[in-house]
Amino acid sequence: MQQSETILSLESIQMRFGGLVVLDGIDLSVARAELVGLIGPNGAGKSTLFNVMTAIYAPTRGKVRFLGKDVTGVAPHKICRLGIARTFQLVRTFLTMTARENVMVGAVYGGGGRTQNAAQAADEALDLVGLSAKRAMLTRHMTLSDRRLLEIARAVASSPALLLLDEPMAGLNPTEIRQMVDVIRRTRQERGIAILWVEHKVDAIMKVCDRVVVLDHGVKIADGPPAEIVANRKVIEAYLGEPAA
Amino acid sequence: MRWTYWMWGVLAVALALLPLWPGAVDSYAFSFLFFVFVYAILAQAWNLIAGFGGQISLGSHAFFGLGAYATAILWSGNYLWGSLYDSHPRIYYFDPVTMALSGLVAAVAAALVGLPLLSKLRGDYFALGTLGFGEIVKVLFINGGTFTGGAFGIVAPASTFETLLPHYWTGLGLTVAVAVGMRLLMRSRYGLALIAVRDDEMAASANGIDTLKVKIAAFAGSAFISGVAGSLFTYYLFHVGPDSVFDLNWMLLPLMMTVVGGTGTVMGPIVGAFIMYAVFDAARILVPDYHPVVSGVAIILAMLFLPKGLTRLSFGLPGLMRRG
Repeated sequence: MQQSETILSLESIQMRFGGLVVLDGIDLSVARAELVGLIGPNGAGKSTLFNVMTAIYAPTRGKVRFLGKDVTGVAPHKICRLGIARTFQLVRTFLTMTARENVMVGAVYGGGGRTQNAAQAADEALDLVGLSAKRAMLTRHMTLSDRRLLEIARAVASSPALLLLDEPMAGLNPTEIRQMVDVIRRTRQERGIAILWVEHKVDAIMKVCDRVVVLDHGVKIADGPPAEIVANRKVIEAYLGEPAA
Repeated sequence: MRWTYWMWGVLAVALALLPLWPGAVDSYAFSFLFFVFVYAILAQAWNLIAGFGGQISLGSHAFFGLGAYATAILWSGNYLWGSLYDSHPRIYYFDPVTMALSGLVAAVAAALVGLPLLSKLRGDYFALGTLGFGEIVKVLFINGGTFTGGAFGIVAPASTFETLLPHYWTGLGLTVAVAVGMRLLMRSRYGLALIAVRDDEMAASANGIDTLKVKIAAFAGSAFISGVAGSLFTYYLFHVGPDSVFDLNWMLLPLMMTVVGGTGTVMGPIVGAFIMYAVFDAARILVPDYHPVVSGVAIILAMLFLPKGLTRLSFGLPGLMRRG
């Protein structure tokens, strides 16, 4: 079955900074066109895991495999060309460019040869996130919400197999959050792009994701469908503390 | 916006035809404009790596000097077309092969030094690294023995000097060529990558851009242009020496001109070179004892009232703005 083909797998990832073990023995996999949420309390290691997947950090132990290839510690620009695109928690857009020029960067350089017509890919990506009308606007003049959408468009323009989202809801108001959820859903449905979504806003994740992975203190404590996760005792304890005895 | 490019084209043609004006041949204007062209080319070179690439280099005088020395060595050593020299001395003026090789020498040096500097250093540390490189090159040339002529330098085997017009036309042609090249470059996919690296290096690499490669290419390209300017200067002075062609002013003045004209714009360096060189020159003639004071005040005023450069004035020419 197409759905079950694994495209990304992390194999017992360990990350330590000196004596501090931030990630320990993390196994995680993402299938083609799957939408996976990654949650956990502050300091759980979500961002570190994200940085391991995008090769900002090389893990102390363990492997990252993507489409059958070992991509552990491969340079960030090569990771993107292989088909893993990402967004940033603190939005990183090219501020002196127009919206369309931003997306063109992903279309021209990120595709690694997959994108035949860069201009067309850029326009389609802008259309997907609903920014077509603002294509000529300087990014410097855009709102935070639009810049977050623009980052997604730029990532989608590189025709990735997997999209990593680093807290795309941070700083957005309820209306913008609904818009973002809609964009994430459509990205998966219309483009068949697998998404690994790191988020603080647990309710949004539970509504949309096929599967949710929970980290706490650098260890994976749960992995399953949302309905299972919300009833998981370990997860509730991680967020709320242990019940008074 | 189109008309502004027409306007620049008309200006370039008018400048090219200016010497044909009756009685204009011996005018001081051609010496003045020749220096404006040399500085405009150097300002474009600095603008490529610093204005568009965002990597503040303080070593561009080293590449100017390398280009100047390369031309002097090729010329005086008869390394190219040696047999032609005796019967056709003129072929050595503005020989395109010599000029291109001079740029290439500077570009190769930039690529070699850029590899460690640009991969390891950022921001002010990169700036200091390039400044250090400039000093190293100067000392190497002082101690270069007969090959570089030591502290005295090299005198080129020039023929009698009759007119500055060939210099004027060559300088104008190179200025136009560099400006056109810059515009084409910044409209290409390479220009897109360069701006991406300047705006956000991490986002650029996360979107598939090999940032080190882009930065080294810009550094080498900038050095090539500086080297060609150095070659042009050797054909003017017929002499290169470590204190003249490795002088810090070959870096500082183009830097100021670019900032005054508009960093990160295509025409800014040319406008800045013209205005600032006019101010420097007027001060030198009118108040010879105090001329650096006038230039200094002009720069302070420009920074206070035109922080984004002349070409970005609100009443300025819209077509010149941004990467136009």
